[in-house]
Amino acid sequence: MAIDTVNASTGAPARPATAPLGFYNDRVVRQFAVMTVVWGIVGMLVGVVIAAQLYWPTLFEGIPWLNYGRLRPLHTNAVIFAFGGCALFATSLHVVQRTCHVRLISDRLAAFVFWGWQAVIVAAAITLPMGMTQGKEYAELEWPIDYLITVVWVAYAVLFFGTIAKRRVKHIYVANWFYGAYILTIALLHIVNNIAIPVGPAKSYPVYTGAVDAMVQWWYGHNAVGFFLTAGFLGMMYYFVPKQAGRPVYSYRLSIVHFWALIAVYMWAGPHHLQYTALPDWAQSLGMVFSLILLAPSWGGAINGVMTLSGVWHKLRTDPILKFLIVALSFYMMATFEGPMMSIKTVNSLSHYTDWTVGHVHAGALGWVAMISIGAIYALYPRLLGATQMHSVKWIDLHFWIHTVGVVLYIASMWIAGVMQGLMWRATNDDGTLTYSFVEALNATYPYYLVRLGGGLLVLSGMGVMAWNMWRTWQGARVPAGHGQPVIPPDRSEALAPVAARAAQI
Amino acid sequence: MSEPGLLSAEVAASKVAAIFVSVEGARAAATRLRDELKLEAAQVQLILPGDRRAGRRLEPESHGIFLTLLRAHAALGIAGAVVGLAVFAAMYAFGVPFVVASPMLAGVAIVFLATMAGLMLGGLMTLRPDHDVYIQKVREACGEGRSAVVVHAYTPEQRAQAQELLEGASGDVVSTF
Repeated sequence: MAIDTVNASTGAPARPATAPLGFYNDRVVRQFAVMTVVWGIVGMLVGVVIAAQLYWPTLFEGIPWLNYGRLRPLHTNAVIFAFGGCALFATSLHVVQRTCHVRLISDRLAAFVFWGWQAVIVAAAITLPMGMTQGKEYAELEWPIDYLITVVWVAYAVLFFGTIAKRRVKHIYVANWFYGAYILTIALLHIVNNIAIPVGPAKSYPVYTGAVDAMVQWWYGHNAVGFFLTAGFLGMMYYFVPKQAGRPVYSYRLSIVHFWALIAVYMWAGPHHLQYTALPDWAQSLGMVFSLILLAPSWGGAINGVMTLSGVWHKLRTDPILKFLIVALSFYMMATFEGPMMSIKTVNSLSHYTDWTVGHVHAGALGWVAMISIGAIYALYPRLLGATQMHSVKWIDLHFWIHTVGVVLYIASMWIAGVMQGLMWRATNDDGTLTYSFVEALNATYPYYLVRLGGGLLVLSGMGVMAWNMWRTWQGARVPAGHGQPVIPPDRSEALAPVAARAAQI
Repeated sequence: MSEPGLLSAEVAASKVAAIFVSVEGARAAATRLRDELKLEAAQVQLILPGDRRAGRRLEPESHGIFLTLLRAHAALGIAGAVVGLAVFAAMYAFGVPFVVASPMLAGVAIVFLATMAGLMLGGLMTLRPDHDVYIQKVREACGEGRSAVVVHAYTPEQRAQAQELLEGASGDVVSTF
């Protein structure tokens, strides 16, 4: 192999100019990895602003596009679809190439997926503050953007599954199963939930009405959690935890059971978002039962991830990237225990509409999704640049602690505020009148909103630390723009027949 | 050898490290530690630049850390539940209206959240943030071509003695709790 450059700052192995099996398309992965951090900062900044508005309600008063009602969907869309989405695109396109030992099927399609998704995000960032919304939670974007999402998503599916189809190995690694399930299910959810009748370029009405509309919306909403925020990130976990630990997955058999159990059960749990509503009672109970069953695959998968550290438990202290990945799993376990518990109708009668739900969601979003994404990006980013590690491991560790403290402050404050709200709202006097007025309950939770703001600020500052570290890593690596890392030939025992024959000739 | 505690299953939970410019200086300090303080060979580790097993030398008790994970989570989770129960009992006894109005739900919620808090403390005990400065300092020094001597102390006295000796030999010493 010829050598064309040497990493100046890290002394990492030099980059070959030619490779027998070609090069990976690392460009699109790098682009998505960088945008993960950029959109993470934007989305979390908007979250901090709306947390501040809940403490200082007159903040930005009189500016319609900075109104809480418009910024809140901007925050959720930015952190879920921009930050989380870019992390999923980056890692799935990285993992599918590495585990299939092949370059993506099309560079143009990859570029279209990247720029198309950025266009969706920019369109959301413009239209949501303008007040253009379908009014469906996590599906607020109006019909022209929904069409664009559909086109980009289909292109992504072709890119991902097309790459799997031309793989050089017999086996499809389990991480790709999870990514594949996430891609297919999100396509289905997005299309079904967004069927609407346009009445203008920026306004449409859903075809569903009443309880059916609510059921479709929360079938979508809950499975967006199940497949976008869970299955996709579990794919991330199944690649990056073993990779970073330098160990095989604890039980590959369990990972397959985990996959089938999770995707079979998740689809039915949506009605737990509609407990004590006009939804038929049997559907509410069904949602509760399936939510309780969901605890088993969720914990089975998480334990499989954590136990991958068997034999190298010391890395839990010495490797800050693994700290991110494993603590993410512990927050996943916490959230997936809490979720089924909150779906029990009796508990739900206390928790619903309170800040406990907000705390639960952020245990999943900041604890699980953000931490596994951050860990994965720290793991893959230097490798894409031909470096052995990030510019500063110390700053990764600092980021870990800032983030962890931020998440704990956030969720603990919302837990206390939420339980207190629920208990105060339901308290009645002997004569049947309410013990507390709504404002009294609000006043009691007020200090916790400040703690939540502090937690959010810490998480946001952690992202700033990450951005600086990535910038310095990029500066030090001086990666040539031409191509990515060379495709690694598969082991002969794993290779598909024609590749094995070719590998024998190399 | 120290007995594992209620929360930690590691026999040498306290660490001391010293940074040396030369390999010879580090070797000499390691020899003095073994000779003068009668430390076991496994308690004194020498980490040289480029050592691929630096992580294991810094935290040699891999299985101990796993047992600490189990033990700390179990103990602090139970402690959290007990504290939650006590908080609930106190609030009920003092007649806090929203607790008295829904005692069962209030009890379940408070005990649940306190248990979660205990489990998070268990995580903190497992991760041992006090080890971070020690690990980062040694890693950084070895990355810059210096060497380190690491002592895995069984007792606080052993840690103090090792720290005193290493401060005299190196001047650049870091220790954990």
